[in-house]
Amino acid sequence: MAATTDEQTYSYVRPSELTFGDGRADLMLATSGGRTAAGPAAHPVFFDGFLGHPEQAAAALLAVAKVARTRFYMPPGMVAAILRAADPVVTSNGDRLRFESFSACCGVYARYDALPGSLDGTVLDTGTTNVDFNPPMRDALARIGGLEPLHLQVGEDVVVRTLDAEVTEKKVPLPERWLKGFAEVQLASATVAPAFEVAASEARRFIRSMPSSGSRKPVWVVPAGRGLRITTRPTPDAVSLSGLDRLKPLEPLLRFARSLRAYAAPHDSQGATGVWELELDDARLVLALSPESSRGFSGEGGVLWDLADEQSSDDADLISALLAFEPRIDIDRLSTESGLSTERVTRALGRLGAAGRVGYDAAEAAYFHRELPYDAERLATMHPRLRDATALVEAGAVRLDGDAAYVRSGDTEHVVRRTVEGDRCTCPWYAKHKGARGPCKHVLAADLVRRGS
Amino acid sequence: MTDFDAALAVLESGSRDEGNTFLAGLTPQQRKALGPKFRRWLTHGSTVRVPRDRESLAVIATADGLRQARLFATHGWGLTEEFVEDAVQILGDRSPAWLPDFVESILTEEGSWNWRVARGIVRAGLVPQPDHPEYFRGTVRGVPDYNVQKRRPLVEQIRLDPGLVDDHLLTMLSTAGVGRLLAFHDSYMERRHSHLPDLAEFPAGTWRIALVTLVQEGCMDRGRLIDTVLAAPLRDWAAADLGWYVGMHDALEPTLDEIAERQGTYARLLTVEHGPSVKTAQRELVRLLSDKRFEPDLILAASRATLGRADKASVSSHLRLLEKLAKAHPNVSIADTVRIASGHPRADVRDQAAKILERLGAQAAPTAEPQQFAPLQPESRPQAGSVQPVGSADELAEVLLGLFEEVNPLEMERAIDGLLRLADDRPSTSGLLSARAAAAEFYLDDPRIAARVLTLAWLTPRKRVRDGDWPILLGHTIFPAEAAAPQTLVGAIGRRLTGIAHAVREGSHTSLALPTRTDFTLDANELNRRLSDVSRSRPILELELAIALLRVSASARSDVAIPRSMRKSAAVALSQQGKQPKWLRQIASYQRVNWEPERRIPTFLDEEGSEGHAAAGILARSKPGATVGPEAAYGEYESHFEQTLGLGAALLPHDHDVLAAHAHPYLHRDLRKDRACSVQVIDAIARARTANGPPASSALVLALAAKDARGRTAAQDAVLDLARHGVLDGKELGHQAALLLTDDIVVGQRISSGLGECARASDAAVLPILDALQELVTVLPGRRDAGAFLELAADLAERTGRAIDVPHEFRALGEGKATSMLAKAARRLLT
Repeated sequence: MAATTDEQTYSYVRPSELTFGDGRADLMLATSGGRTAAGPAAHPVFFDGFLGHPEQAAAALLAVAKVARTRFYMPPGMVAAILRAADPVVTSNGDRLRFESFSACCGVYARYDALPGSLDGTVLDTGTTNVDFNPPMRDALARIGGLEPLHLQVGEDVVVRTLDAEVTEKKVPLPERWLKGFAEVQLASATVAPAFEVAASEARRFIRSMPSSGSRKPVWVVPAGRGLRITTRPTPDAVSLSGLDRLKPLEPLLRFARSLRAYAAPHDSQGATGVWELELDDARLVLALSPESSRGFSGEGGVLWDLADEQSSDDADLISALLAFEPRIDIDRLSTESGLSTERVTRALGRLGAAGRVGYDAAEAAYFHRELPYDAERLATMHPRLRDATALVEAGAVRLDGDAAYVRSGDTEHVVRRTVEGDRCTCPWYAKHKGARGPCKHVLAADLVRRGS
Repeated sequence: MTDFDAALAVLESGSRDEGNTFLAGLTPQQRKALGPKFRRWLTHGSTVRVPRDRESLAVIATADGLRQARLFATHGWGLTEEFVEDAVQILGDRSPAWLPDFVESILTEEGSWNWRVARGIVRAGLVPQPDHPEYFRGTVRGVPDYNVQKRRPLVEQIRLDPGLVDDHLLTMLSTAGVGRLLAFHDSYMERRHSHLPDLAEFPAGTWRIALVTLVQEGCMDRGRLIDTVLAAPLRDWAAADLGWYVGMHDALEPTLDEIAERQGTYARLLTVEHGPSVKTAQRELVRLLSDKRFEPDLILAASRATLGRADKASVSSHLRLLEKLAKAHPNVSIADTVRIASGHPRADVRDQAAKILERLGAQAAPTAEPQQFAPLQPESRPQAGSVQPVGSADELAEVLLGLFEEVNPLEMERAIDGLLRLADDRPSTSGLLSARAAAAEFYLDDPRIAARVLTLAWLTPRKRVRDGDWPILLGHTIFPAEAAAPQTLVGAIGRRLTGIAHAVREGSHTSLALPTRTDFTLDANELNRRLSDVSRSRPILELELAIALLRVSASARSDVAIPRSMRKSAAVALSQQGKQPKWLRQIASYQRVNWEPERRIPTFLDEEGSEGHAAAGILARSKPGATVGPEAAYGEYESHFEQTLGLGAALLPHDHDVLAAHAHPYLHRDLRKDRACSVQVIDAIARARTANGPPASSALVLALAAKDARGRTAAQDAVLDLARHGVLDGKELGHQAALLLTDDIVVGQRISSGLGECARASDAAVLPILDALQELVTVLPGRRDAGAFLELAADLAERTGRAIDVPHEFRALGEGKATSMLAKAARRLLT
């Protein structure tokens, strides 16, 4: 099935800019679209104040922007794709700012959390929006040193600005898989558990000594002595790492690092999601890497079971009404307020995550509220396997026979067998991934029919 | 005369004016009629005598849209400056609505003629200046005339288009990807070319000289150019784009005033990843040290990043800079900054930092607690998991479907077992499976072809195809396509799988070789049980029995009762004997084609080995050198070849040296290939329960030196596994490493860092690695990579308190006053 591409239009009152003067640097980030606590907004205004550790903050912002402009994996046949990167997304959670971006290959997610200790100013609103990261501003960011304070404005009073400036528009084609991956990475992140933590010096040694070349098959990172080492053996206590260059965005921040933490998704010998967190001064830089560099988050399908569940849809609607851009979503509170069990709240949050409406912070082991500034309804409906499964059910292509289900797809009739290890299918998708990337459309279709009967 | 004849007559005459007049005067109807014919000249080849640039001009003059117009550059050769002028003139006269999009489109397609036409259109004011990076990037190749007959300084060519000077060129220098183009262009101009022996170097043709000249002539703002050049390394560009800017900076020779004015920028350069840029910043800042405008705080703040670098050169140089800073500004404290280098991975850098601190009278950085050494008792190997045979034809079908995607050796063994036992059964999904097999297309060296052939052999009705070959050849498919030689490991895998396909066509057999454990070992009692089921209606295969025996541990093979029908089989007898090979190492030379360098591949032959029996290619061989050349090419371009070798590794779970000997051509290939294919072989060696002999040791060293980091990591894992289980013979490992270094087959630095990683990861590996280093040091004198080995030896000797003998060359060096890393390491080994 051909992937569809949507064009995202960013509309900024003026380009973001960084100016130097009076012994300080002034960074004005222009905003475009999104939501605030009060509802949708064309140009939200979130913050006005000083950002601590300016050199570190500048390097972190550049790292986030660079991930958005990087294709870490080039599929065979793609000789010279034009890379037009999406602008980073910023979320104001009241006490902190989070800058997020997603790579063009859909396999790397980056987030810079400016934590409460690094913000000295006024948080004007909560919400999520895109921020303009234009080349001149990036060039200027690279010149920020450690001595001059960094004044940051996220958004500005558009009423004043629009009087004397033209609106700047940027159009970026965003493939459906990119949008879906950006949303779905949250779901994968929610499955991770802490694996290890090493001191800054060991983190530097490990990342700087990583080979620059290497095949893209998964390797695993394990603690070794005081530091870390790479191994080719999949072990449950290791963190999967495919495409060693995908950790390189951490490199410019290593000199500011206090420690490096890694989180691993449930063990899978074929590779699993890994979350890498560089602990900085009053901040964190987080990278989430897909199980293999050739596998984008968009195809992981971890959310399909939840999406196929009608009940979680209703629960998600209820929970979303209770969210207010919290930096840390309290599941117990939501459970009490909604009257749903914590398990149903968690599943509803998973569904909201797939729709880009919550993110997951592994360090806090909690979801945080943010609404991706893309069409949320579209995000929720762009799962081709679920769409195809529904079509199969509607076409009456599923026939149940005891523990087996026969699903006619085109000229072929696939057999879905129910076993204690889970459903097995005779299609090439199942033969290749064995359920590690979510169910195939035949398994989903059989499940939908079973639940309906 | 038709319009086309008229056009042909005018264009063939070669008269520029007449041609232009004719083309400019075409009516829309004439354009529509002539356009396809003109475009055909460029797209299908021309049989007329129209000069190439007139053909392109005719295409532009008759194009009805940008897609048609941009065909003009289908062939870049033959185009001229006159063509650009005429094309711009004609487009200006026509003024089509698609002109701005045309400019964007040809810029996107890149190419110097595309850029020249785009620039001509912009210059003529027909469209506004495009905001397309290629408009600036294309300048690098669009401005210079590469005609070697009329070389002229680049600055003269720039002057022909004065609008380029200053702003355009500065924007060009600020555009991503320009750096590598500039470097390539300048390097081309500054060197001689073997295919053009009469052509001298031409520095005046370089962009560097051209820009310096423009600055000297006052045509460009020197300050802005320096700022632009200094800004490049601060951008997140690839290192390949940055080298040229360093050279440009040096060519501009900034004055002290200029450096002082930009010392903040130079200080920021100290924090970038690009080493040459850091070096440049260090050099210029040293010049500024004694100047009153110097701001030490800027440098000290940035030094944290420089001193945190992993390389020696920039850190060492920066320590020297800081020491000079301290002398020039005694009131500035550098001690805290210098202490950062105390954690550097290299001992000589740490020493340098300590000495500076000592000279400053400052307290040395607290040294990291040395890694403690605690000798470990060998761990016993956990028992591998058990293997479940397929239970039904339906399950077998699922296993085969999985093998169409990836050849997992264990799944392949389950499939072979199932096919032999269930050859007469049919799965409920046979239609689906047959269709999948019929539709699957694999190259002959793709191991997944086995799943296809075996499926078809199983499911194709026997009445329809009574005989047939059912070949599973493997080998290589690049011209000339060639099946693997039968006596090689890959050939043996192919022979085995083909034999299984033939057996399946004949009907059910007794399956013997299915491993009982996931490490591919087979229990002798289970094999005896299987053999007791043998009947005339369920016969056995000779090679399967040989493989089954090889999967039984050597000590238990004699307990296996061989059926009478197989007692005369040489393969079965040799497999059961399990005789230890008598290894002899040889170097085979091999040059596949005359433009490739000759390759020297180590081989191991068994002086008492044999070939010509059913298990040839699996048992140790007596003449591996005869096929090592072709073997090195098997599966060379097949991305699944690693899985083929995985099938081979599964055949020899107890005979790791034999497996290693077979794998040497592929391990040698991994030294230069980005993607290692021998990882599964190394994993199999890591499962050894006996000490590594010469072939396994050589294999480990080759893998430690593999180009692919994954291959090197697998070798480190193997060394660690063997060490943890007490079966790593460090002395043999070192001996083979020494031989490979002496034969100049492996990169020493990869081996030293690999051994270092192993020693860091586990104390169990430390003593065997010291044993290896003891063997290695004898061949190190005179080698450039000796320092890394010796430093590792010194580290481990200090960590364990065990002495190591060093050759007299190093002894003399250690006793002298040299301060090189090698001398310091030698000194540490002497104390």
